[in-house]
Amino acid sequence: MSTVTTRAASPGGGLVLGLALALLAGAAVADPPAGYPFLAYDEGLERAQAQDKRIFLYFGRYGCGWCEKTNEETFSDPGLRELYTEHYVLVYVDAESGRRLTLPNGERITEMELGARLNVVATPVFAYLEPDGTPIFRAPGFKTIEDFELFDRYVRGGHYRRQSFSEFLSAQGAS
Amino acid sequence: MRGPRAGLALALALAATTSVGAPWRFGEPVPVSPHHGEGVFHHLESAGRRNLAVDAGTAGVAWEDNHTGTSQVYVAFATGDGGFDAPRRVSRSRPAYEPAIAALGEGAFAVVWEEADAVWLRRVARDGMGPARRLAAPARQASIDARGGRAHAVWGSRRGEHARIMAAPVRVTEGGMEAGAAAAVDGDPPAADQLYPSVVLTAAGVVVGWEDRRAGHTRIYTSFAPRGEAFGAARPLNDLPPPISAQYGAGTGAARVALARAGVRRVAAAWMDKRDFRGGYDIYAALSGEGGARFGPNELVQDMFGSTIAQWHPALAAGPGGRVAVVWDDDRDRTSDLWLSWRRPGGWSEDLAVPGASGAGEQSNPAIAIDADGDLHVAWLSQDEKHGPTRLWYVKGTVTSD
Repeated sequence: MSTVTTRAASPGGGLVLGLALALLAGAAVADPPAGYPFLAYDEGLERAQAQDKRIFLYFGRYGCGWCEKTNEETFSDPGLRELYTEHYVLVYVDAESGRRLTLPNGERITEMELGARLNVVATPVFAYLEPDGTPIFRAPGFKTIEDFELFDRYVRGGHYRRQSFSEFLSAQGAS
Repeated sequence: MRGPRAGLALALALAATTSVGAPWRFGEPVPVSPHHGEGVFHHLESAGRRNLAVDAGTAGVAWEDNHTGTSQVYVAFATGDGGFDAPRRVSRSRPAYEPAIAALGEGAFAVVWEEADAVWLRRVARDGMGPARRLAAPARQASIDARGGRAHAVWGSRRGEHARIMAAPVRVTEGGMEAGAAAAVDGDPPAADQLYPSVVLTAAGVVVGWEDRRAGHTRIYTSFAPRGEAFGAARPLNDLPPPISAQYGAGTGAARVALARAGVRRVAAAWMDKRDFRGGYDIYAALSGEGGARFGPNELVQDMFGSTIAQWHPALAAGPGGRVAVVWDDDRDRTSDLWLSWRRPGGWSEDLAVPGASGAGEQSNPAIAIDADGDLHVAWLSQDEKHGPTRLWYVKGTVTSD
């Protein structure tokens, strides 16, 4: 598992790499897992700040096999669904889409452009963000239930403030 | 300075702007717009990446920026003495995005853009602009091409359940520009969204390429209309790799196709392709000698040094003698730079960093055009730091060889 924390600061210091998506209803989009209240990024960021909740961001692609595998084999778990629904604002982004979103600095870009800026070279990519959109941790590729439970402990336990994910794993005795 | 030192100095100066084997020698970059600074963001983005066009050696750049507080579309023209004239706002008043520009001839250009959930059309020249005409609504992602007194616009219509690519001839009138009857480029009702069209006119007819999701993943399709006739059946353009799973996933992705006219009946296509998904998008191309009715095999554009990283924002241009060039951005040298490859016998050239659009800072989002003399015009965005305010630049490459 890889850990990449990407942070960007606007010249004014007010922007981190948090993004807001405008949910576009009615268009064919890449599919988030069923039964989860995934939001568009704009709405997700707003809700995260209102509720002071961290964001779980899922980058997917229309027709992505690894995304579908993760949806069916991992996100289908009721326990995982309850865990993530309760503790995160869930946001989904289609990495090919031309739907526009508004960054906190006011810039309007597309979902695909967001992926380009975050160097989302393959999907799925899962990212954890602070309520204001500051990136915490990022994990690309298919993930198991245990993976997401481990990530959750790393994030909600605040370990990311003191340790890299590798250090956290070593401390956990996991490999 | 004379003698060997002079010769060495000259050689060094030439080497700074000319890469060995490159058919162009590049000048100094110049800013396109005077508006930049904190909170100002420019975007060179359009269906087919048609943000730059050249007529009689004059480059016209169309872009969107928010320097007034809202996103608006602007056009500026090269002055001929190394700079650009003052930007003209082309859009009306609502937030506007993704303009595409085509040269009409005699110093006039046609611009299409998206504004207020509609697609608009306008004739723009150095001496003024015609009125804005609404092409279609609800609609997005417009593009346009012009050749020999003919012009054709394309866009994504959102009238039905799925977005559908529409095309219409456009012409210059005393009152500005007008569109003829619009037609769907794919006769069958869309089974899924059709997105981001690109269009080219040739002596043979009209060819349109677009992103199509009918197969459960995004593929590039094309459709061709012989002159005076309707569009034929849609054909997939990008090849597919063997499936990696019998159970999961419909297929790999392809996106943002661009088309360019490379001769009387010769058309080039380039697009982003994820068939080798591990390294992100690669740039692929295909050529047609039938005006776009059929394309030859897919060709990988970027070289091996770009194979393990993602390429973004490919822009395509073609010019006299069938010369075809692609420019994109990638971060193989740790920062985002513009890279150039051109087609030559046997394949594509090695990738060359575009002088002036590489090195320190972030360079991205190119738009390119090749003029009637074979010169290469490049516009792009720069940022001093990732995610910072942008600046819009232009550089001209003067042709050095056939």
